Amino acid sequence: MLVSELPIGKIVTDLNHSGLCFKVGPFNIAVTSNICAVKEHICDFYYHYACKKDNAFIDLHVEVNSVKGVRRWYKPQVSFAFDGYEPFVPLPLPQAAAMFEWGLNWAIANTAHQYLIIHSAIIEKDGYGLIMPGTPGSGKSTLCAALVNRGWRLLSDEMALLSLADGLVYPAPRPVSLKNKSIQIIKDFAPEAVFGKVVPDTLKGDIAHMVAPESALLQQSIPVKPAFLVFPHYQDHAKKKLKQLPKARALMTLAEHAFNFNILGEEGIDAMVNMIDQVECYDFTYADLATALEGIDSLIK
Amino acid sequence: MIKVFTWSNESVVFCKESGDIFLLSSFNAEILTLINNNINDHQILSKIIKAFRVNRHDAQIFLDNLYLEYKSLNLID
Repeated sequence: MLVSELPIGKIVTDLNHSGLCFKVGPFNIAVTSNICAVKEHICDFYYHYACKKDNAFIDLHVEVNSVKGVRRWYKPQVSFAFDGYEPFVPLPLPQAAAMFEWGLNWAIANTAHQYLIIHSAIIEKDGYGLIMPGTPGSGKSTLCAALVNRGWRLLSDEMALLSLADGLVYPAPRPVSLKNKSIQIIKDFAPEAVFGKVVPDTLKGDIAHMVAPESALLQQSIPVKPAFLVFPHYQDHAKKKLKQLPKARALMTLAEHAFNFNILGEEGIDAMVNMIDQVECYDFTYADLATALEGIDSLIK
Repeated sequence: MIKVFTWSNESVVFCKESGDIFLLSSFNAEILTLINNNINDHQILSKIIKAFRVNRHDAQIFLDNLYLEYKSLNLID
């Protein structure tokens, strides 16, 4: 059963009280919130996700609620809690939905240690998994959003879940988070893509989420074998350059993007080395989406 | 104590104790492995002399510097 098949009254009641439970990739998530913007966000972005099966274990229980106290009357804020623990300072109420997404990222990165978790976009086409780790500003999410609107399957725009058990990358497709100029660039590039409201002035600038394509949700239980590791670098006016990266250097850079490498230690380095052995590694510099897509598509031709 | 992963002329060394990783030339990583395997200096010096075509004195200086560097990085005892 999908979230969309639940009566709206049950969705709202569950969000208010016991938690609305749905499945994102390998995780069963329960969300509780008393904030309208979060409820709208769940309905807009998670409507077509499968509900948790009866009696299935909940992996992540997250809450986004308004902060109590006098302050709520003149400068309302929201807090995020994971299993009762609040890892962040409260944020202004208009950022509630963004806080839910950031908090969920944090909860996954801090608990799912059966995976090496790489701060990366991960997409797939024709069976080829493409991992794109990137620092903020590298264009990782913009490139990912463009590619998933041109036939690539979205596994995640934020984290690659590399299984320690089998070396495959598991999908956890969620809304693609775009910032600042990237929002309009993708709206122009893919007018058919569905976006939520722009949330201005967050810590990361203006934020908008793009709905994960249906193809990503239909295949969210199918892992992929990594085939390419590409480090994107957006540079104004740069010439497109796809340069092969020596594997030892690729490993050093990849380790910088692994959220839980410090926790996994030897298991983590073994997982990365196994992956590096089977992928082609590249540095990819680009200045515009059209040539960037050409460059990425050329990998699988 | 360490794990070494080599691709062509570069290696990544993983220190099991600290969890740190280091990028080294494959040759230097090989010397590090020899030191950690308690291979005697005589054999290591022969390897350095052969690789760089230097005399024994220069090879010894090279090895001493490596010892210092690896110790500072906690890659050898």
